[in-house]
Amino acid sequence: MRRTEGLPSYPRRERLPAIHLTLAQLTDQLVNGITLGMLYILVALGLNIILGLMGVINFSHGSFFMLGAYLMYQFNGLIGFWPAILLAAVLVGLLGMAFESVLVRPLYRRIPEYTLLLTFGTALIFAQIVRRVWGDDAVRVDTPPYIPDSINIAGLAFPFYKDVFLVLLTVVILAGVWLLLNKTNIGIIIRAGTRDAEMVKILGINMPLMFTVVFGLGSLMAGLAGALAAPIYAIQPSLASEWIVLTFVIVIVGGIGSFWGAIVGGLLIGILTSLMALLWPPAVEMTGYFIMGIILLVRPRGLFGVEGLFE
Amino acid sequence: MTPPNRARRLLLHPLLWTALLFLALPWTAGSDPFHGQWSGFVGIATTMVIFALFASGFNLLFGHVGELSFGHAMFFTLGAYATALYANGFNVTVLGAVLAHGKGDNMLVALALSLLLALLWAWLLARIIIPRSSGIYFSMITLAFAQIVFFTTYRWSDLTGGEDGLQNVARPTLFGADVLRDSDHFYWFAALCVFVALCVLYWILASPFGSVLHAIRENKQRARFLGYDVDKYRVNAFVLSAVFPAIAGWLWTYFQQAINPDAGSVEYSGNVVMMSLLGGMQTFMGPLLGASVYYELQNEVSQATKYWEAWIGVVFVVFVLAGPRGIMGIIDDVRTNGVAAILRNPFKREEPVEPTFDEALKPLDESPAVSETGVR
Amino acid sequence: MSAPAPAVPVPAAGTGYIFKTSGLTRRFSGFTAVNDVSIEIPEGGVRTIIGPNGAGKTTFFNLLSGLLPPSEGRMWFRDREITGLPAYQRARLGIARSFQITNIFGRLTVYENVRLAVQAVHDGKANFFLPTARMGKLAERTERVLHDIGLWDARDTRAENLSHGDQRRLEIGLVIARDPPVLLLDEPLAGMSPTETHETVELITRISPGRTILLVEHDIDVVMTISTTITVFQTGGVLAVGTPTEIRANEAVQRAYLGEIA
Repeated sequence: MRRTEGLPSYPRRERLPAIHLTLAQLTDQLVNGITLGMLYILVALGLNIILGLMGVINFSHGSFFMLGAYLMYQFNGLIGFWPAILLAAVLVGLLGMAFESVLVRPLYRRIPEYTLLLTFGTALIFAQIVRRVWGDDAVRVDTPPYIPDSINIAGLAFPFYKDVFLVLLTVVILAGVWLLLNKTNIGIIIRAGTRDAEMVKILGINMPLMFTVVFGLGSLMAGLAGALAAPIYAIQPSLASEWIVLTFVIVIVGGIGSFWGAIVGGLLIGILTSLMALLWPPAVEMTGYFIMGIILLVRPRGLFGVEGLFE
Repeated sequence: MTPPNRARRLLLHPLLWTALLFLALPWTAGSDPFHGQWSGFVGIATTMVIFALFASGFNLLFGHVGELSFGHAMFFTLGAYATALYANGFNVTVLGAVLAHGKGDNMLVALALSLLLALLWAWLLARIIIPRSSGIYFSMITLAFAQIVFFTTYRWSDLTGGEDGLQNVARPTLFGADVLRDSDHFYWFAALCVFVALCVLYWILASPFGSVLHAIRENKQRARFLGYDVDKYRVNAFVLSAVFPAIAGWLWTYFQQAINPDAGSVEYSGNVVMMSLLGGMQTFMGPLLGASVYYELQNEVSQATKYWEAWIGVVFVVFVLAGPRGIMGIIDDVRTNGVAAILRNPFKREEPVEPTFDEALKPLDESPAVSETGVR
Repeated sequence: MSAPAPAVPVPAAGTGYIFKTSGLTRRFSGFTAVNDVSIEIPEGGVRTIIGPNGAGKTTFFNLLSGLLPPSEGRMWFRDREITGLPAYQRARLGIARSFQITNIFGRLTVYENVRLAVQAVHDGKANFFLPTARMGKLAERTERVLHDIGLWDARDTRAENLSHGDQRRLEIGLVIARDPPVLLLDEPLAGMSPTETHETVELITRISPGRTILLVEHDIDVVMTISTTITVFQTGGVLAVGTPTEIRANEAVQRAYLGEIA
């Protein structure tokens, strides 16, 4: 697809009367929306796991997404495409762990708003660091030459990396996260802790360590999403602020602390945003906020936010 | 503790100190005696007083009700755009109907329109948000709703001029005299308007209504069980806290003589959050001091590096971690304990907020603070 | 306390009961805390609810005071149905409650705490800027409540800096400030020293004439001394109701309590 910069963006054409919509355009935007939604899911789920377990909200989560993209860009030239993605994600995860233990931990005794304030401050710092290191102008990452540009499915051409590979890979990652949360000890502790941190503490589990690990895991998912998105979107310092607010919206729409909420919320907003580009381009950026408004009116705690955390 | 005597109370009155601050700003804002810059800049001073009002309005909600709104720039930008549109005139088609208005130069009409727009939006939002959320959930939702206003000003180019905004807004006349074009005059005009608005805010906070807000900040559940309609108070406080940013936006448009969508951005919302915390959020003077310090810092640091925002971020993070009661908190400590005690033990201060707001996490539960026998 | 005429309009008495419940039930994700409780609580006196942990006493309080909505069932205050009424409106009807966990305005002074409770009586009428005369009345009433609970000398202390016993007393002060006809006290003696316990029991006895006090309490000696009737809860339902003497003699109650100990 021809989009190059910013996000979310829409094709540079004037408003089209609805009757002129072709099936190809519709499919195009639908697939676009799914890709966008998949990335939203990765970022929002990371945020949601942290929020669900620890009750703190990380404004710098968008910065971690942005750092993932920049680090991927940095290492791509040095160690190659795939290792760069992996390394970027892991580095962001480690950064998240350090961030939690140094800056966030002293704030657990205070009201959760303080974490929001702190991470708002650090988001400013991250944005300036990125400007200093990589400059104000957008940078780009190309997919390796051996990845086909596009693939034909049912007579329609889809960009391979963006619309096929990325979507499938995200599904695999999400399945992995689900297994981690539902079938491993650590996941059971996270889920129990989401319901009742006191009880888990009583059972003798090292909660500070758990918090650090979970914060790292959530950050790693943001970093991974950033690294995977690097070849698709222009990488620029405004990425962080563009993504973080939409991530909040997805969490609200899906429901705080809910695995399936993040998935449904991410897909819903991704797809509807893309379709809005066909229907009424000036309102594209607002799609998510309108959805949130409607959801708030009918289901104040989000689609999956009532009971059953991470199930 | 005996009640302080009259003279002492007068000397420590926040409004007196506000007046003194505003009198001093034109000579001190942006001055730097170490580099031979002895006089202040009246432009910086004007920015400071306007943001002092904006931050104070925000802080009515944050510092006094305990709700952190991350979207208060929406009221600022609504006030600013209403003023610019009124002053410049507009002509726009909405759903086939033509809305048109010629230029107007009555600043009171502009103010009324600003307030009307901001109040309507605030009331609508309050009805949607307040019964459904509190705590960090509230912060996230206000942030998101502010984006709707931001993107409206950004994308509705026919009306708002899109990314470039509206330029060449004429300064208003004062009783027919064109005196406000002069920056000094405009500063005194803005300072007077802000001061009057702050007097109203002070009166609100000192009234029985204000003390109920403090009660809600301390303990929503207890307030409810005393018979207070807590949500009604929160809605009223939310709407009131939109008034002051709208007035600030009105002044801002006249001061800048232009307006663009940035005025409603996340950054602007975040800036007043930082100002309130830097100054001291549970005090009346805090946001005023915070706004002054913020722009003083910005002025100094931006001369040294174009990445000045990072240093503002660092200062803010240090305050969140080590001095969440802000500058007013430090002043308070010095007054009660003396300088020596503070220097001996710089980090051991009274914690500001113990987790009394247990409600924050579970926004819709009536109250999780009460443990249910046998539930867990 | 020399009780003045209640400041809150009281619904006509004479129905005989202060609270009536019918099929009152509350479930928490599969667990039934209060199970099909239909009782009438007579007006006046100290009506104590006892029972083992998890019997549903506090949940029953929370349902009556409007902290939690019932899963099923209805309830009446005198002859007015209050099933769907929000908590603050029940408080305005004159149902005041204290909490197991101390629940005061921590960073406000003791004086401000009580004044807010007194001021609540006028809320909804002239809440924004009260006339000075009424402010004077508020001050008078606040002063009297502070004397009643023995915290006049501590009036300028921040509530969070009080001792535990004084905080509990302040909470009782908040509850009685508007002179309500009904008090719901949830373990008011928990964590108190013997002296504090003694003083607080005295305070409760002093304020009880002319009102109904619903009490959840574990201190069985106190319960036996001050209760008019005792209602025994077990696993979400009512096991027995009676005077202290009757309850002491009740076999089912003895079995329940012995069973718990064994």
